[in-house]
Amino acid sequence: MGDNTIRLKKIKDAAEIVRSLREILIEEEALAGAVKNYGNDEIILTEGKLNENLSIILDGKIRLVKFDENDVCTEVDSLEKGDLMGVVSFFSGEPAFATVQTATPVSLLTLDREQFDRLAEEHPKLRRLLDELIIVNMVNRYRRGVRMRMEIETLSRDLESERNTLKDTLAKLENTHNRLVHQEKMATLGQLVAGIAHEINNPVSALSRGVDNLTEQLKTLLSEYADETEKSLFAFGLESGATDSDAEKVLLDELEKAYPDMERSLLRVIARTGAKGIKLLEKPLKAHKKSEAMAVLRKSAMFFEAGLFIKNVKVSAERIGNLVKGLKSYSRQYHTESELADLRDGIKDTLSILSNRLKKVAVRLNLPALPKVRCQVAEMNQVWTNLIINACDAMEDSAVPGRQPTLDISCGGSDDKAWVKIADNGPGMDEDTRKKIFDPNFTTKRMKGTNFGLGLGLSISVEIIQKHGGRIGLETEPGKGARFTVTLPAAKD
Amino acid sequence: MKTRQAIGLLLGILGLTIPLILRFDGLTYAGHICLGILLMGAMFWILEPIPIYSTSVLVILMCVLLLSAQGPVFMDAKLADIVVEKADQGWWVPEKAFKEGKVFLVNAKGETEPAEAKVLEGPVSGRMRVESAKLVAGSKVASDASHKLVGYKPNNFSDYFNSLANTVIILFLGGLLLADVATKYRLDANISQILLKPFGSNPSMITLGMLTATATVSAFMSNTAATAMMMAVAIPVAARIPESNKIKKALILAIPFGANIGGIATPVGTPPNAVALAALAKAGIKIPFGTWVAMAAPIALIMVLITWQILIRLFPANGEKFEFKVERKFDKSPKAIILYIIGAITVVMWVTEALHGISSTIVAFFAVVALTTTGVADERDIRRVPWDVLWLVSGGIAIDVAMKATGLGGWMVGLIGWGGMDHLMIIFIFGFIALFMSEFLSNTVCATLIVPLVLMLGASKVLGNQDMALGAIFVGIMASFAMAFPISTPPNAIATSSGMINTKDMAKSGILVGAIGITITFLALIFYWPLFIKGLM
Amino acid sequence: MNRIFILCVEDEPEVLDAIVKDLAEFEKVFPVESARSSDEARRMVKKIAAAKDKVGLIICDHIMPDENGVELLTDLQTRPETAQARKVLLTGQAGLDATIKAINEAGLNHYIAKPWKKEELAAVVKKELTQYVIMNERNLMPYMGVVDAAKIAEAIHIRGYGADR
Repeated sequence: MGDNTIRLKKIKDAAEIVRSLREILIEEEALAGAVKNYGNDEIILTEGKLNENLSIILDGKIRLVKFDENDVCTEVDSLEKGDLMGVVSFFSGEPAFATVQTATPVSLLTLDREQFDRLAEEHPKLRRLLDELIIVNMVNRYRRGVRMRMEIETLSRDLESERNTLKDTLAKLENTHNRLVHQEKMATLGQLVAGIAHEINNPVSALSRGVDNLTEQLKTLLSEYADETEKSLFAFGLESGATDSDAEKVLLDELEKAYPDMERSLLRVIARTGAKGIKLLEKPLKAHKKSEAMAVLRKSAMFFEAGLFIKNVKVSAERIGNLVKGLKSYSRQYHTESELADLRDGIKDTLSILSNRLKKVAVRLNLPALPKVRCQVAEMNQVWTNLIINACDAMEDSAVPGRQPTLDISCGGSDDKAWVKIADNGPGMDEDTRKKIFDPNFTTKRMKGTNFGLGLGLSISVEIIQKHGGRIGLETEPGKGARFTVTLPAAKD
Repeated sequence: MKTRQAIGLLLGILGLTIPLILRFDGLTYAGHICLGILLMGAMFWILEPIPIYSTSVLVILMCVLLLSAQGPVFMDAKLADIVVEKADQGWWVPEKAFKEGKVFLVNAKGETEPAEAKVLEGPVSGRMRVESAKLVAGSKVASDASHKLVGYKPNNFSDYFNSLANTVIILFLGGLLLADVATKYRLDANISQILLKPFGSNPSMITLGMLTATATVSAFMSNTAATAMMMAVAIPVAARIPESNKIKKALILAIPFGANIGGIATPVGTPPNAVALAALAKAGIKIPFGTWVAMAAPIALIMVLITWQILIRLFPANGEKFEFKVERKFDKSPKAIILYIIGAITVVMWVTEALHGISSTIVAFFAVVALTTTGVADERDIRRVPWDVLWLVSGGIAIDVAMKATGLGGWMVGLIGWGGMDHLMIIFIFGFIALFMSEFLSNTVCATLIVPLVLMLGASKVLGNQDMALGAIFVGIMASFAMAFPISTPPNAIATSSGMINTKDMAKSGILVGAIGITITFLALIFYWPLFIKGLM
Repeated sequence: MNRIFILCVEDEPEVLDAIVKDLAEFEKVFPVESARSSDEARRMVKKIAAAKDKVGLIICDHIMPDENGVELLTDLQTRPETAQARKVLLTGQAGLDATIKAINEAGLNHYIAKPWKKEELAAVVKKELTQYVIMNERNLMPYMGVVDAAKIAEAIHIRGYGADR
């Protein structure tokens, strides 16, 4: 390239090039017409149009803008004195990629292809200047590109971290919201239950007391009016436990074979009185006059049944009483002061509330005395409910025939802490699951019809425990069950 | 198998074999066989080791095998005869041709006819000289008087099988199919509701309503079906009546009683009627449908009223009234309308048989054809026809045919000296036996066993034709008046099963109804029925 | 005649006593058999089938240890000896899901909410036994006094079994 070789190692300043250009322009009168002046905000070149000219900014500033489909204008670049304008479109012949607008009054040297060729030929100096100018322009563009790339990188890094923060915050918010809703729900439920429990308590007390009185009075009456057999049968009825139903069926079969003329419903009651009752009734059973014997037996059976049903009422009233008691303390009011509590009471209440759910599970309790703990009892009950229901679900989902689902609940403590351990013999967990188990929104469960929203997941339990200054630990291995240990600080006093 | 059934089986087999071992004077060989079949049939029908309808077909089979010309017993039997040889005085016949003072003339058709004969000489070298007014030159006599064909010309086997399609059976088939289809379209229930409506809400009147409605429906359909249908109507009503109000029992009892009484009103009302009619028809006395209705329906009407009085007196109401909802919803589909028309035409044609002369059997068969061609009755309805009932009646008809052909009937009648007895007395006794037996046995079986006896008395001239006809109808109707126990008839069994009445209630009212029933019917037999029967003789 | 049993399955003895007592009026015709667990219920079904008797009605508690009522009824529905039996679920908590499952899979005919009234239980039992005998028995008359007599009478009538003899 000889003289025209561009030395890249030292590139002149654009301002200097403009100065040299101006000198040349003064010498070359023919080019005087090529200098054009523009005012403020004038459009020099429109995006998409073909560009025939190469322009050099002699003075002033211009900006490159692009319009999107909504005609919103975005400034993509700005050029100033010494910069070249329309380089790409001039050399490539492609349409202009942006609209060029003046930002200040501008003076431009605009050369068309012919002028450019002529100038380059006639003024090697100018040619070199122009070359240099183009190189400068390109280098600047390149630099700007690199800078911009870096800026974008930083920007997107910032964005990413901001997004993560937002995500975390949202999860926290959601969790808090859920907890609040749940607490609200439990609080409402607590009020409701407390009200209902109170209402139920009255009739249950009447029932329970009434049946006791009835028993006493019947006993007194019977001692006067009934014979020995009838009194004994009444007493058998009162004492009858949940007898061995197989033995009873054998008795019934035997009776049916022995006395085929007797009504089965009568024989069933007689079988229910057991071997000693049958012995008492032997005489009427074996009597010849069937109709008379039936009348006697019917009456005797009534005494037994009276005792039996009184006992059933008594047992059932007791059960309702206990259930109500459990319900009341289980759903104690939320947001009340922490109180000094024996964790065992909460566990027992929870178990009585969940008795329906625990029908298929053997529960083994090992609950020795342990230090009292200052806590919100209702919240802790939520924790127990949660852990027990999780354990039940786990055991149920992977029921092994022949293996009785078993729940071991134990507790203990030292001077400064109290702990409760809830262990199941379910499928256990692998390491992955174990790590994630306390995360919010983690679940291995499918929703069950019977699980009507007690407990919101372990994350809330964790939160409750942490609030109380305690912690929760988990030991588990696949196939070896799971053991959750909740440790709470013992109350100071 | 219960003891009763085991005994029945044993007695039945004994009954079949004994007449074949023992010999009865004056009874033909075939008569012995027929007696065996009759005894077996009676034991089986009474003690039921097998179902009564299968006893009936068994009887038919036995008749075919043992008595028909095509059965193994008589298939190859050939009566050897010999022309009598003139002697100076009397005739020479083979020694064996003479038996118990008789020789047996054989005519061209191979039939035998007994001829009184007096022994003049012999036996001389296997021959005897006898004297008889009936013997002329060229007379043929049976060379062996003990031969099984002597005194008996075997029937063609089709005579026995024909009992399955006897004209009365066809009449009944029509009646049963019509009733069956009426049930399908709830016509019976709707008619009963219409009938109940005028009786209001007074419990005593409702009882009369139940009696009337059940009796009317039962006149055209089976007593049992009528009872089941009316029980479904009555039980909800009765259930609202407290246990303390005795009218509850009257209300329930009204239904089986009404059904039993209503059954006598028409020939198709209940199978014993068919048995009597079929037997009389075999004897040549054809009783038109309308005539039967004219004779029996008034008795049914009177008995309904009397039964009503018995029930409301035994189980009086305590004055409460009951809401009685009548629910009538006539099926108005084209097929139902066709049924109504066919039913109406059939009944009218039956009752007016005397006017137009078209046999009720033809009318019944017209109904069968009309119901099936119009699709009102489909194949399921045909399958639902109680064929067992038809067979039951057929068995009786077959026995009847056999008794007449083998001479068993005449022989049996001859065992008893009837001479001194009053005809009406004889009829009453048979009626009473029928009533008594059917308290414990199937009505149809009773009629099947007793009606032929009455017919035999007629054939043997112990009773006149008119008395025979009256007696057969009387026995047929008496078989329906047994309603003292749950086992007496299926309607009684259904009513007792409801648990709303007990056996004692049924017994005391049922015996009363039976006793009054036999009295009223007997009075009708004396004073009222002859008006109709005379014209037929 | 083969007997038709009513089978009651309930784990709590007090409740079982009450059910059996309430069914005494049916026992004249339909003997009652009781079971305190689903295993025992299956044993009873086997025993009844072995004696050539039938199970006409199963009244089953919903929540029981080892297996709940719907599961038991579903299983029994697939067995020939109990497929025809009418099935009634006695439930303290009539969850919609469980009920739908019971109706679809267990062939449940009725469910009764606890606590029940004797009249209510008796009415349901009567209705179901009536259905059972009408659908499964040829001779309906022995049952007429205990079950819905009007329905039985109607069934006898409609079947056309009402032939005179």
